[in-house]
Amino acid sequence: MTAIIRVEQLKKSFIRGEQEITVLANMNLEIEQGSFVVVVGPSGCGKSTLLNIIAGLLPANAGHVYYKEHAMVDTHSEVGYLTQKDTLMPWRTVERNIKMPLEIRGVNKEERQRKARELIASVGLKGFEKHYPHELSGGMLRRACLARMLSTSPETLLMDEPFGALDAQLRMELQTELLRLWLGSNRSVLFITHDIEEAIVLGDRVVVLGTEGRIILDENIELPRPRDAVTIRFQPEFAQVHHRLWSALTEARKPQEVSA
Amino acid sequence: MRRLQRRRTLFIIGGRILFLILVIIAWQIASEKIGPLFICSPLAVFLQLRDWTLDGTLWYNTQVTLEETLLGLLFGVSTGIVAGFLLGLQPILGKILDPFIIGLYSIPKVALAPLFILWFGFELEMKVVLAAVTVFFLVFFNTLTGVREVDQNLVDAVRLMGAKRRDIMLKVIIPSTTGYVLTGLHMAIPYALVGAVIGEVISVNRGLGYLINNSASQFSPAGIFAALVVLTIIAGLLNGVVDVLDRATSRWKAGMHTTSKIIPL
Repeated sequence: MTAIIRVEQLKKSFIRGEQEITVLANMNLEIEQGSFVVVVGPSGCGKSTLLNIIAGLLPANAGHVYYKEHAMVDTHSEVGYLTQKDTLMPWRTVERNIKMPLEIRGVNKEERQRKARELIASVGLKGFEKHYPHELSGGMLRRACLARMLSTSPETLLMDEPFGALDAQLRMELQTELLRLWLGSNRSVLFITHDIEEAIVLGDRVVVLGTEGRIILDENIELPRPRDAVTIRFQPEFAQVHHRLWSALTEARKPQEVSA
Repeated sequence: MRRLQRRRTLFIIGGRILFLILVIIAWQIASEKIGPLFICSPLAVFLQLRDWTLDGTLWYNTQVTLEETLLGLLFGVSTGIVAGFLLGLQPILGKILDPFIIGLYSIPKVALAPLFILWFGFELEMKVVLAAVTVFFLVFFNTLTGVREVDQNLVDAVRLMGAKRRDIMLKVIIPSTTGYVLTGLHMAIPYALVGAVIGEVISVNRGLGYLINNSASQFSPAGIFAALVVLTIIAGLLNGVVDVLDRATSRWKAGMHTTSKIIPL
């Protein structure tokens, strides 16, 4: 399989006060076309930075990101990015928020309406079209963000702890829905989380990051699809993978504690 | 629930009327105790207003003050908004100019009046400029704060949608700044009146400020109070206009802030 995203020798550091903090040091990563890759790591390991660079929001200090073998310099219209925070425009209704990317692309009104209605139904927000973001619950906000991202049918999805702030039950519900939307869509997904279980439930492949973007473990998850976010936890393979990832994460944390 | 709300509204309106009546009664008593030369009776003010209305003085001078105020608002608000966006979007330029703007802002605008008389004479222009300068800073600072407070996450979100500068401006920065601009406008309206009236008080030729000054020189407190009543009404009406604008642009905020805090006593 060919790589849709290729990260090569990526370097990024921030200046905080007098200190220079290296977040990513010569990081390499490849995401195959059509696969669901989950990156797990302790907080502060540079996961979000990595995603921001891949999305084209943040320039790297050195190294390259290739999308379909073309160097990425700016945001890319084929890539959708679901951030940790809800970034719906508070002055727009759910429906108008979902239409926003289409407006920017100059899609005509009828098409925008059709697409918005379809997406609202598919993420389960029917009846909330005219609501403003502040009137929605956390889970509904996530659904609206997801629908907005999908409105332009991006072929690649970047997701940064999208369900991190939700309660466990709602998280599983949304994980199941994400898998349902993804399966058979031939989309590539790069998903970031600090939750091992979430990584196993979702991913074809889980990459454990340590400090400075060091890859500690890169493992394929062989659990059969379609997966159910709730029942998959009771399979024996799940526990084995969980154990391996847990040890890797423990190792990932070690050098960070020394330096901190 | 709705009924309760309506009863509350009625109660508030009733309370306002009652308060107004109490103020007028207190006013009447004060005028009798202190003497009509300092505080005239409400009736005298009413009679003065009637006389001025009948001989055209009131309408003419009100028109003059309104024109100055509105023109002052127009120039002050438009330049304030433009400057606010400009400096908000060019952080370096903003940083360079910051101390100078704060310096200018700190000058009491009344102190500028003689200068403006020198430059623009005693006529309309001078009063408009005085009102506009006063208004400018209020709108400018509010707009600037608004632009600086725009949520970077929202800007990033539209960048990810492939937005160019124009879209970011129209779809994120302007809508999220609107509330701040309107706050500036709210604050600006009374100050536009202040600017215009100060100009009139100083140049003493026409307008409500002239009426105030002229009445004072004739020892007619009724004239002063009558002009003040008219000024209050103008300010109230202008604020009403901004309220309508405000409501139209911030429907999305409905129910976002509770109006009353629950604080145990």
